Formats: sequence, structure tokens, C-alpha cells
Amino acid sequence: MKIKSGFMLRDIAGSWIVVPLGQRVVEFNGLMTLNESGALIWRKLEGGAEIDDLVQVICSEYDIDEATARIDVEEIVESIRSKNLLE
Amino acid sequence: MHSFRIADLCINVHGNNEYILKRMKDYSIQPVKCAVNVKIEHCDSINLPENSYIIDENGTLNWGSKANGEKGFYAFKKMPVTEEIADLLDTDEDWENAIISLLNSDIYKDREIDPIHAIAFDLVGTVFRNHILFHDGIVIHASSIIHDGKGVIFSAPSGTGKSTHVKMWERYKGAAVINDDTPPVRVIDGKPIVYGSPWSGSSDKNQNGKAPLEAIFILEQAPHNSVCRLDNQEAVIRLMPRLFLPYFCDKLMELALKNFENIISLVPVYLLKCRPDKEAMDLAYQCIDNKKM
Repeated sequence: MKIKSGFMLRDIAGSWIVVPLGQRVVEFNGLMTLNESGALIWRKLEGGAEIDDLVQVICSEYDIDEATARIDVEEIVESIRSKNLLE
Repeated sequence: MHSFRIADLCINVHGNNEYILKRMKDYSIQPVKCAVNVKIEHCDSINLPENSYIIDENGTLNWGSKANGEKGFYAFKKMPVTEEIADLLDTDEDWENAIISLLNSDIYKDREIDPIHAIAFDLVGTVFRNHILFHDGIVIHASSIIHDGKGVIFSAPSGTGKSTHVKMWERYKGAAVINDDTPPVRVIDGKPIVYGSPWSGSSDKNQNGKAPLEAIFILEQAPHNSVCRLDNQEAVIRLMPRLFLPYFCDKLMELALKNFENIISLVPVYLLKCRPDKEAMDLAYQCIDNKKM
């Protein structure tokens, strides 16, 4: 899985916001906000990653068990996928 | 050559176009050397230079970036049906040297305002609102007033009632509308300032003034009036869609977001749920007057 090109993730006054660039602004009408772990997952997905990789990243970053991490990761990935931001 | 000062930035407009000069006249200054130079050219035909297409939005401006190693951008608008280029903006990447070409056409000769000239005027505004990004500023879709020396911005999606709300401030408080559609805001020496500017939407209400920006209100229609201060996250989510952002360039986007972040950190943002009545204005007034929220 990989994030489509043409999006910028930026921390604005403590909020992680996904900003479209170029032609993406026409197809992505709206605003996507991410929490801290969502932003971490986004960054990994920019380079390409699978669910298992993301679960590992979350487990190593936060004090959280694998099953809970997997639920969080799947939820965030689904939210990114539902906005059609994955290749 | 005609010189103008808008938001404390100087712009020289070269070439005569009566419509553009008339719309900008309240911002006119004695001729000076300016960092920003916009040349207006009238042409019998306009060729689109080679560019790599960035954004193609139906009905609005098209954007392209210069090709062959040149740096800068093109923005253009086509004529309906014939698809001829009606207006072309050619600018360097710093938005300092721009040429706006207008098509000579008598197709709109029966109209009071030739839309080709109106678009060219808006393109001068496009130069301004991108250049201001280099000077700690940004343009916001909002209506803005000065009252008692304090600048206040009312922002909302089109049709919410910004202008209606602002009319109450004019009527009951004697406030001056400095821009009814797209006010520029800059942070100068750590202080946020809201300015008047000639690009002011369909009402065209604007005044050449400036004031410290004391508050930003996001308006939302509601059956009852209420007001609350937004935290940074809510303020960002509510205001981001109201900014004029340079979607055509990542470097400029970084600048724009940095400037926006700076403004948000300095200015309180309130959500004003309101009816189109005086009580709503009184609520907003109390917020600014008491700063007790």
C-alpha cells in the first residue's frame, strides 16, 4: 500500500492536516485531519508499507499490545482508503 | 506606470487598462520603484506558452508551470465555445514580475463590464495574493471590518451571511468594511494586521485601511445565537477551507501554511452560531470588547 503522490502532510498549530497539491485539489475536495499515530502511519505509507509493517511501527512507538495496534492501524488505513488516497 | 500600495506592499502596474486602474485607484501612490511589477498587454491573439499542466479546474483558472528549465507559472482562462485564451498571466516564481495578456475582443461589447477585463483585474489580485505569501501574509475568504481601531474578520462558506452580518456592524456600530470578500492579513513585528484591498467580491465594498486583527469569527447559521472560542485544531479545520492556498506549488504552500499557523497562534478564533440579527452582532461585539471568552 502506498499513498498517492501529490499530497502534503503538515502539522499546523498542533493538528496534522493532509493538503492536496496540483490536480489533486480537483479530485480531493475536503480536508483530512490525522492524529499523532495517523500521521506516523501516513509517513510510512508515503514510502509504501503493509498492515503488518504499520502494526510493528505503532507497537514500537507506543506502549500498546499488537491486537489493539492492529485495530487502530486498520481503522486509520481504512479512513485513508475511503478518501481514495491510496494508489 | 501606476504605483499602488496594498497591505503595505508596493505594486507597479505598467500599461493602460482603464478598468483595472479604476478599480485600484483608492490604493494609488506617487510613482515609486516597486518589487512587484505587473505589465498589462492587450493582444489580438494569445498563444499558450509551453507548460506542464498543473491544475485544470472547469470554469475557473487553469494553472501551468513553465517548461524548458524556466521557473515560474502560467494561469489562464479560456473563452467559452471558441476556447481561445482570453486572459493569460505569466509570472516568475517569486511573483515579482508578471505579464497579464488580455484578448482584444468585441464579443462582450454590449456588457457594462467586459469579463475579459474583470478577469485581468482578478489576475492582478492573483499576483498580489501569491506575492504576499513572501511577506508573512495570506488572503482569507471573509468579510473584514475596522471598529474602534480594531480589525475583525468574519469568515464562512459563501451564502452563510457574512455580508449581512457585517451590515449590522456598519448600521449599529458605524464600523467600516475594509474588504467584503478577500481581506489580506500580514504579521508584522509579531502583530497581526488586517488590510483593505481592491479585490472585494461582488459587493466591491472596500477601503484603503488597516488595523490590528483582534478576532476572527467563523459564522454558522443557527436558530439561536451563541458564541464560543475555538481551540487551535478546530480553528485550523474551520479556517483552512477559507484560505487562498497555492495548490499549484509545494514551496509556496509551505509558506502559506506557515503564515496561516502564525496568524492562528496570535489571533483568537470564535465560532459564532447566529441568526441574521442584531443580537448576533452584539454577542460578537462583547467578545471583542471584553475579551472575556
